[in-house]
Amino acid sequence: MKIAVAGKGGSGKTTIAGTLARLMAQSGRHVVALDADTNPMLGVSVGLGAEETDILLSAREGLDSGETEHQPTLEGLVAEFGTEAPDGVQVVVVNRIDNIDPG
Amino acid sequence: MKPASGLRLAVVGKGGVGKSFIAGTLARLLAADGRKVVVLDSDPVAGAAVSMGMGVVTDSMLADAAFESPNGWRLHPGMGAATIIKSRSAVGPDGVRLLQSGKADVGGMSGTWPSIRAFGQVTRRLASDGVLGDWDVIGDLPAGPRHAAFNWAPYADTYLVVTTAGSMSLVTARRMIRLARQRGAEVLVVASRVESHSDTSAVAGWLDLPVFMSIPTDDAVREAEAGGLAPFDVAMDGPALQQVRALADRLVPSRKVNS
Repeated sequence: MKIAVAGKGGSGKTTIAGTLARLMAQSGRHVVALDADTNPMLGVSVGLGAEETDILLSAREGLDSGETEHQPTLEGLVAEFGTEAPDGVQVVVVNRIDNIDPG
Repeated sequence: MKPASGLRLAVVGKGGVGKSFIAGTLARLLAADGRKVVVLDSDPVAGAAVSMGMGVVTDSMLADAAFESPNGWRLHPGMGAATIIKSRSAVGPDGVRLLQSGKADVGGMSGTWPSIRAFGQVTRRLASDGVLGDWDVIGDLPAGPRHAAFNWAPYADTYLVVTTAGSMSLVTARRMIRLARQRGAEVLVVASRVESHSDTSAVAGWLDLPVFMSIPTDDAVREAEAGGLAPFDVAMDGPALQQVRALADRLVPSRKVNS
């Protein structure tokens, strides 16, 4: 299944998404936790910790730096950009903004 | 350009940390002193209006103020930033002003584009023309780093980085501090929804910066927000409002002398 979690800031989107991902992974499902927020924080709620979450390379950064190619399939996206979190959840960060006036 | 004598603030941080509460309450306090104050709310989710005691204002203002020229979006002739703020903003208690743009509706964001572009022009004029230099300008920015990165508050010389002691909020604050410094703006850390002294210490330790002001959790503020009321109007004697007053005193040192 494919689930999008939406709502106001601070209402608990990331906590619910990350916890759902862990629960589903524990029940034996393959789970990709896709963080599409420009302020990506899903790593914290799936258990990677704040410091590691802060430095996860986003797909956008990888593409901009020319180090990686576009990945049109989910499998490719996970293989290229996935970070393994507890219970086998694969975290993929799409975009992260750290600089002023990004292209 | 004459330096502005009024405040030029951007209030930033993760969603739910209390940006609109702080921006709106600060605005009401300063307006009650007789200062000219405008809050610029560019969040697609309406927020500042409620905190200012103006109810839920869902208008995307300025939709007709700008036009797309071959050289990009422009304000219509005669529509300067000062004119727009004086004539197009909503007026709240004590004359406090609210200018907001781009409120998302059931149709999504597409219809809000002219409002957003006009609003962007106003923020740029405020930054470059020295207009309304004696007004306090308080930007209530959308959550997270995106809008600060795209320079939605070019007028701001000071970023109030609001954070709780929670790790997601702190990681966000660290990103916001990097962005503010890239802009050359002063960074003031505001610890919010603080439960104990150790929360304030955790914020200072994590960010490696002093906490400029620490604002505690306050049931009266929570009840005000649940009821759609301004904390300024119904929670004035509570501990959170006391600390926002202290914040106003530190930002406007003459305030304490006069009161």
